[in-house]
Amino acid sequence: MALQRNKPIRAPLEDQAIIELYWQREETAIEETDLKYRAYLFTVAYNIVHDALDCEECLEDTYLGAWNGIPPARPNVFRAFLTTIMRRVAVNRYHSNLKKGNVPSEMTVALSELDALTDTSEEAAFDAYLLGKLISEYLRTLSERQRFVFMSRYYAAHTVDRIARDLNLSRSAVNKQLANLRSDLKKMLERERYAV
Amino acid sequence: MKKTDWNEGLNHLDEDLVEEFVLKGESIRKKKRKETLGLRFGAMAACFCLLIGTILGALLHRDPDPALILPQPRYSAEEIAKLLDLQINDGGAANAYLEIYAPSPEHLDLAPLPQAEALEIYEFNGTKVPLNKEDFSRWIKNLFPKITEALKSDSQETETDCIDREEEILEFPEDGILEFSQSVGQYRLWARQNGTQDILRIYNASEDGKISLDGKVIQMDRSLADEEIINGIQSVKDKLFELFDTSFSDIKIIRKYDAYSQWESQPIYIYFYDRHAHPLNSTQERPVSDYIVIEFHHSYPSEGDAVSDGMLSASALEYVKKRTLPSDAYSIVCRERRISLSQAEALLFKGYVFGGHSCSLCMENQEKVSFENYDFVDLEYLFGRNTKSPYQETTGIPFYAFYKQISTSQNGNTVYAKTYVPAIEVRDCEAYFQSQTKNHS
Repeated sequence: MALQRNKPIRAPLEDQAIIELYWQREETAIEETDLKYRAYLFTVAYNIVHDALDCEECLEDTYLGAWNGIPPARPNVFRAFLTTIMRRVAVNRYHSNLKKGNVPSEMTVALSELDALTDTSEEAAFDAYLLGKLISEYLRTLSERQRFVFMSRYYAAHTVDRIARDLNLSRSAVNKQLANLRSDLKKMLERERYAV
Repeated sequence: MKKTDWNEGLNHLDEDLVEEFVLKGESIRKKKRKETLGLRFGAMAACFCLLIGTILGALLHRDPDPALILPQPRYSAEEIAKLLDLQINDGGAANAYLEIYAPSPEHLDLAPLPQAEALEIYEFNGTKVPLNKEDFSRWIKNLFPKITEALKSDSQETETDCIDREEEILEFPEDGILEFSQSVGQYRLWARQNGTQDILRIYNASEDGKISLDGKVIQMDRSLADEEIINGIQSVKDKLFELFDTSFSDIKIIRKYDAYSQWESQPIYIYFYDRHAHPLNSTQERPVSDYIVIEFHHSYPSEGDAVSDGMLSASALEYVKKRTLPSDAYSIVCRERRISLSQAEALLFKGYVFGGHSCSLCMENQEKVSFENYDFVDLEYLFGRNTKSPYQETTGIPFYAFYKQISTSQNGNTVYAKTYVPAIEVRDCEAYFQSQTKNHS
């Protein structure tokens, strides 16, 4: 599934049309996805792995993931579907790079903020699925804006500057909100007796 | 737990949360891109206004995607009449017009004529998102306490506890609606979710009908110019954005006029919205994307006091939050070649018009109006209505709207006759209108 590098200048297809191509097992589905979402997905990956070559490989893996996922999936929001795959792929790459040394990406900075919530005194049993559900539950108690701040920082690893720009807030206002959100999340996880 | 376990956990967030985040990010990016472009162009325009004007002019004349223009017109005149319900009991629609009232021409809010080679035909998809009681309940729980607090300072009798009882949400599965209402003293808060949008409406059910936030009555002087109204409404705008947990970049003021009321007491609607969220936001009165509207009406100081002081009070606040992207809800079906103004005038002068009346009696009672020396013309989109669900729009077609001053109403407003000619190429126009002339002799 070689990607088309010299793309024609034309309007990208609608998401539903691209999904239909996947369903029809047309390999052009991947070209169309690349044409429309390459730049966006590259940014998602770069925030996590901070290496252009790694990003290229993550892109290939993401397109393969979409090819294997559709069908049977018929995503409501194609961009979100691709984001989920890309994040998983990039996080795997990030973890494997982490074993070799520190990764100078925004993800590292974001994770270090979550360190404060992590009790390193004992190695607790870890259930990623349960943690995901608990964080989802916590996010649902927030306003749309607070959710966006949390997701921007810890899901997409956006810089504080970028979040401030996106929401027309000051850096300090974003930092303050993030601190409150982390503190509330910790309380919630403790209340749910989830060992952090 | 290892540090990186957070990452694994975040990979298992619920799908809808990721979707919401991505969509919100997308809308912010689009908004920022337009703002940034606006700023850049603004700066450049100071130096190269002539050059930019030329380039923009050229761009406006260029169709962005010629592939979407159909080789032949898509619709016949008869199909347009049926589509938009502009036909008169199968008798056609010719020589009919609407009566429009305005104190002066600038109050007609005329939209500029297009220069593009082709114009978009829109289709309201009616894509319905399944009702989500959990989301609806969360939305209410998030907004109602703040709103209640802001209204409460004006009223002591409140019922705030019911927002914690999810069973208060009424379900009407046959109509595809969830509804919730609550009283705060004399105020009513009413929220509804349907397949396309969430709506929250606040109104005062008492006789005076005025709305106060934090103890201050929201009111305005109708005689003010739009700029003065916009300057005066800033603090109310900020409060509403805070209460509804949202923000919009643009303001639209719609003034309503009729033939009999004192002009000072005719209503005004102020919309807060994002103009760039969809092209139709520039041509339609009501935005097709999210918006907040304040409805201002006159309330007389006491019974029998018919002298208006020109002060209008807010009688309702409404926040409409779309559940689908505007570009998905109103998608472009195709682009049709635009006909020139002189081609449209030729049809107008022959009486080949779609007047907007659907009542044959109205039409018969109308005095004939010659549009030979019409006064104004602009561009409007008219949408068809779903026969099963009359509030549901279907296809949106661009029309030239011609205005002709015909008289003065009893309250001093100028009365204009307004009629429509399609702004796009249409098949079988001659044959259709020829077949209708017998109904309009």
